[in-house]
Amino acid sequence: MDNKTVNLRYVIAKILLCMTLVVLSASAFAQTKVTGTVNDEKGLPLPGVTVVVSGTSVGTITDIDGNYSINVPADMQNGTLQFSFIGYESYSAPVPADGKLNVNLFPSVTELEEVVAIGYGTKRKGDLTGSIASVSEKDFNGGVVSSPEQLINGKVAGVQIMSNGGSPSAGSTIKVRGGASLNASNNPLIVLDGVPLENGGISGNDNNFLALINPADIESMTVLKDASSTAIYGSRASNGVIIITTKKGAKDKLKVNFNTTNSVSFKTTLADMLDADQLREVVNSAETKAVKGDLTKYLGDANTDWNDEIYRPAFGTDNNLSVSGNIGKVLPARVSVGYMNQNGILDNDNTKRYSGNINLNPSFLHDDLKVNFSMKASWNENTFADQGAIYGAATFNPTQPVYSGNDDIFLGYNEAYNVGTDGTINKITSAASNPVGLLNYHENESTVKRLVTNLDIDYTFPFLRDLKAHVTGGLDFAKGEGHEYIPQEAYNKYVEKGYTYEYGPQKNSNKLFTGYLNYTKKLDAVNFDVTAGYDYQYWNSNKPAFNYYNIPGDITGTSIESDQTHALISYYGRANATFLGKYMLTATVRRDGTSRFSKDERWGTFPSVALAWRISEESFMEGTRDVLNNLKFRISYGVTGQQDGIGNYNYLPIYSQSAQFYQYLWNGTPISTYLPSAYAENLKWETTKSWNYGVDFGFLNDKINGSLEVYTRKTEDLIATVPAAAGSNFDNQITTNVGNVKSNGFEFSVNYNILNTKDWGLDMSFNATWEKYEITNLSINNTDEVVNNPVRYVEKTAVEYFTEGQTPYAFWVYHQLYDANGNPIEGAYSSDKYFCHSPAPDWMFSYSLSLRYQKWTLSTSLRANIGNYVYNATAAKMGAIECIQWGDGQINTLSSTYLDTKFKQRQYESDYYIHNASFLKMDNISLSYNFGQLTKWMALNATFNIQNVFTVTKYEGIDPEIATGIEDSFYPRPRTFSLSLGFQF
Amino acid sequence: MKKLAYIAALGAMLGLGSCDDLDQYPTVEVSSDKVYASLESSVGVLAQCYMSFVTTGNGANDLSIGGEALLRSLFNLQEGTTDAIAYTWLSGDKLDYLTYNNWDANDQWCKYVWYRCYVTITSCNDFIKNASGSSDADMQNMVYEARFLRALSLSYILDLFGKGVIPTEDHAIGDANLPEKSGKEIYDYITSELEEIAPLMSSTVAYPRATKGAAYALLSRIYLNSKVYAGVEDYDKCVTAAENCEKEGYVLESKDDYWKLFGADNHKHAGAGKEIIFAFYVDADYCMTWGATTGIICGFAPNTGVINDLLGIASGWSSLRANKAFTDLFSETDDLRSTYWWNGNGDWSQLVSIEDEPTQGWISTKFNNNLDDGTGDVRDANTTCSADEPILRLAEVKLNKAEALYRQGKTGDAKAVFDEIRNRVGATTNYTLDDDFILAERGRELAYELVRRTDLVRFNKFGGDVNYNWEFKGGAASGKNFEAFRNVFPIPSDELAANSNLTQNAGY
Repeated sequence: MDNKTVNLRYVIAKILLCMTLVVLSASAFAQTKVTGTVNDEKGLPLPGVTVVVSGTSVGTITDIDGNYSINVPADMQNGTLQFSFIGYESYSAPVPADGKLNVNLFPSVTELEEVVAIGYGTKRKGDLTGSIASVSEKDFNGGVVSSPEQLINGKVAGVQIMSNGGSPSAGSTIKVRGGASLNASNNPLIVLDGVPLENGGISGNDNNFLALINPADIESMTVLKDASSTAIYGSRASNGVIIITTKKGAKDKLKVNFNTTNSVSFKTTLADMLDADQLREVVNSAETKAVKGDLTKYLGDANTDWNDEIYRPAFGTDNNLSVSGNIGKVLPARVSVGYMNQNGILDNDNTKRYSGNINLNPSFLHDDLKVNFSMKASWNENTFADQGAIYGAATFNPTQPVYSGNDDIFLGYNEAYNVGTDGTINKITSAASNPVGLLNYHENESTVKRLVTNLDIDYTFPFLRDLKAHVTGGLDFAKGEGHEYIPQEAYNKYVEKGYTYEYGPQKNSNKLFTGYLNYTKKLDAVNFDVTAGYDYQYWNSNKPAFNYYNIPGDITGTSIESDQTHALISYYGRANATFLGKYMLTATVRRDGTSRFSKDERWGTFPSVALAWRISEESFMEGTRDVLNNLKFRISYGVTGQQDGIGNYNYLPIYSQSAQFYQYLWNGTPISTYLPSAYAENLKWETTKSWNYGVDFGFLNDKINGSLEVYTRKTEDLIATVPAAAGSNFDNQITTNVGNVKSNGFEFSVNYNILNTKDWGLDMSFNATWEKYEITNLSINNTDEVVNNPVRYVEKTAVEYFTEGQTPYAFWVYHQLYDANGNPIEGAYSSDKYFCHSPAPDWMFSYSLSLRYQKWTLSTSLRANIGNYVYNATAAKMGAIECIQWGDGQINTLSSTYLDTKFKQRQYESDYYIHNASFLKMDNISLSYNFGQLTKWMALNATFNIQNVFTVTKYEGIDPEIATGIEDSFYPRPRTFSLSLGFQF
Repeated sequence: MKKLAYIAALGAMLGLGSCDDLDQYPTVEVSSDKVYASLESSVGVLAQCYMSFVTTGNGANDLSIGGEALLRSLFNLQEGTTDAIAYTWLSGDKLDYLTYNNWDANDQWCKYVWYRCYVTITSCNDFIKNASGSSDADMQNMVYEARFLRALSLSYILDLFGKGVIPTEDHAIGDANLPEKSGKEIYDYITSELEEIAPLMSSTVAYPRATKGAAYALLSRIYLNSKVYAGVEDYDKCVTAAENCEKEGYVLESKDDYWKLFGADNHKHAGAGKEIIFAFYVDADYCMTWGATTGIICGFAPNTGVINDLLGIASGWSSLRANKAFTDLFSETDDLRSTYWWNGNGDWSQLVSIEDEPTQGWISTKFNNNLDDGTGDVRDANTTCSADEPILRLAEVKLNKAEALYRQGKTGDAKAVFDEIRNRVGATTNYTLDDDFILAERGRELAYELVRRTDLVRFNKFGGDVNYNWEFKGGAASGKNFEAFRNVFPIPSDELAANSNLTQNAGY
């Protein structure tokens, strides 16, 4: 407030001064006065900018509002003015004739000065020895982003992020360098403000736990890819680490930001099924009558497009308000609140999120003691639409209308039934439910609350200023509960007389203590720092038992109680040294002990070492330094572990008590039974050894910069689930250390800042990834027999396997034979099954472009995957004439592939259904206009964004990008149009 | 310094973890030592061994293979591959391979039976190992019961696969690579086990626990098939075992009450003075499953609900019916067993000419969900049935004895026993006693009681160049021969990969 009044007076004074000067100058030395404002690239005023008349000592500095006033000597009227400010590109312009010159300055990003978060600390990008990629807010994907991982989709080479479907509560599958495990999880470790988050979900939000963090609060995301950068996280590091840093308070004046994004989404491609007329043709055909008899009585008069009925344009809004500043000049703080309400394109699908974030970072004792307190809370309400309606709408008889016209039976929806002799209504067993009805009467709602809070303290010892201590205490707590309800009159649960239950609250908590000491020393020839620390982390997940009921109140099933805990204790250390600014060495070691393995096996040691050479700093490179300003070679080796995704008690012999409905009569009374679980006493760490070779380069002062990486990885003692020999355990499979996997890859990324002037700006970036992944051993006994472990199924038929010598999840099917017309011959295959590709792509490419003209910016991102294959299960499941009717009382429509194949029986194991799903997608295109300072106190930026713009692919199913490789009732990804308005006060 | 104190306090507050924290134990599940320290949970382990035949797990946990319960999978292999059953759910449930008799080593039904039997055996071994030390008489009897269940499971392995491994309580968890045992070795082991425990077992433990009679009854079944299993002819031992069983006082049910043996109250028809010797308990409220009699009763019932009242159920599936080749055996109208068929009120054809057409072939109403008073036992909680699944009953023991006498040449004694069975259901005793008659009579009496395939193999009417056809046998509409090596099923390929000592059965 003081500043404002000061401003006002200042301004008035200046104006008066200007006016006098103008008057004076007119008569006096014939000087030219030039005035103007200097703003930064966002249109905000830049104080402290030096304005100089080139070749003289005449100069001034811009004031707090970016205004300047300079007297240009008479003999320099045709000279130039030069504007410069640290961290920004200098700018020169001729002295204006009319004495007015407003200027915009743009940041000069030297890539090398950027500071990135690494585990347990930060580092200058130029000093990095490992393979690390950092994405900050300016490069995040825009538009509707309901979950943090979507911010960096396509931005980092080697990172594959695939949403699990088009629902706002779908979540994503994230893989860094393809993941290193089979049964142990392939998810990377996510660290949020220093707190490693538990993977997995919670009741009420199983797929999308990460979405409970508001993306608008995130400042940057750093991906650690190679072993030397991840090994500091030891036992959870094999699949990479993503470090998320949220926004903090600012040390300068109060800033208020309000951003509102409003969107509408539409359905895109849907499953290709026979429509009403095509179905009529098929039912009336001779070949159908020969096999299935006369089904014409099931043909109605309608022409219902069921997909039209279940999908709708979906509206969404996402609003975030943040206030950051320096309270009383001693407490930098940031407070933000957000409200998101997003509908899904499937009728009745909705997610709401209320979030709040407080960040306080005061420092005391002259910055010797820095405290950071952060609290992120969110309240999430989901309404889950019954996704069975997707399959239902694809297959329901299109010649039947949606409503029966009789509201007394089955709530008025058209369903299949017959009437008994005594007038009772008999539902046809195994008939499909009306999909519109299913969406409308099936209630499935949940509420999930999450709180992530951490307190970090950094203390610099006054008696030894090179020594710092850091302590973090973190807590991640979530609570989920919900209910489901299907009314008694509804078709879906008619025989059972409805369905209702309440679940939860499931409580997940994760407590962390981190403490480390860091000693930094800068000598003449060498800088080094050493870090040593201790971590303790404890997780507990607790779910109460609950019953399922029908509407009259009978118990129809139970879900038993679950209580899971595990703990991790770690010791870690890191040493960094840089010699002469060009030779770098990093070494880390971590020792982890977990509660998931027995006493004898629970400790593991995970070391790593990395060397880097900034060859561009060498004297012999001096001549080329103008062009090639940065060239760095890196090599690293490390050992990381994996114990996530396996049970907490897998090494112990334990028994589970039976649930209700599972009791055996004993001496006249039903009693509970005790079932032993399979266990592996000697379960231990799975270790991955990786090599990474990298080159970082920068041309023309980093105008063009990028890197190239080549890596190889071998995982041993792989934790995998393999067949157990008969009589050897309490299950037909056992999760144990059993095999080896190897992978190699290549990553390339380049950024090109082509233009950066006052009026024009053009940036492009491109990255390419190639990966190859193979299971080298999967047998406990090293038998000659090759182990083919089925892992993913379509109905009851396995199609994806883990097999030695193959990529994981490879398809193992028969090669279909075709007749002279190119149609498949049912049941005719060329000999035995063969391995037909896998869902993993060979190549991934992504490209982004950003074009700026004055206040307009146009940007777009594209992505391509080459070599990924998808099994079209929707077509396989409904692609034969036998599917047209399962029992008396109803017929279904078929996949359009039936017209080509004319299969009598479903051929799940034919490679006819496996297609090359290589694709090119334009993920988003956006146009934004920067209004700049509309008024003194408000700046506005508006963006219009389209997401999922187009897809180019040969694949004929719904979407070529399916994480599991099997397209089965996939919830289509919508095309979204959104308008964002960003206000800054 | 004040600040350092704060840091230290913070550390203390958050609770610096100690290495003991790495010993985490479950609070919901129970560890092994606690289970066997309590009588209630020890008994629970044995109860689970029993229940493992009819359910898929115990609601808290199950085998990873999932799929269907042991008895339902056994039904598919023992009845579904024969003249007794024609399926409508062919490719969806992978029952086409069983119908066309062209299964391979990846067959899921073979896997379900193999793994469920062996996990039951491992659980029995676990119980035997931990309970053997007890001096309590009831606990000692329970150890015999566990040995009985182990022998029963192994008998299925022997009958279906012809070879396998024999895990005992002397093996530890994690011991893979058990040596392969031939059919004869398994036969010798089962018979010696049963002969040892039968005299020691109680006759009076409460239903549905295994009694002395059950051990003798199972012995009679195994000895009857001795030629197939072990290449020896132990028919005299079969007769002895059958007579030892009869000494326990079982009585054939009357003609009027015959249907109650297969109904929801059939537990009232078990034990001394009754006909059922051993059965697995099923109940819609307490032991709910689709894996035992539910699969038979609801499987036969049409999904249009037309005979729901007759069978006492809430919903039918239209998944099973019988071939004409089988229903032709029931041509004698006086025979009570001929009345347990429904043919769409005369509309349906008896011959099955289209595999998945539900209105062809007759459906069996032998198994039903009616209480003894004739009313249906429909519960609100779910649509499963409550008829226990009979495994051993007096009629089978008598048929075993009769056939064993016949094979010893004592046709007179044999006919007397067959007459007993025939008289009970009102069938004529004017028949010729030969191989074909015995096979047919067993088909009539023991329809859908999980022995059909065993009988066909014993009479050499299953695999090979035999003179016996049924609709879609071997994949041909009017039936054709299939390979002789299919008299046993293939060992699951997963097992061959896990145990290097096992070799696949010839032909697969």
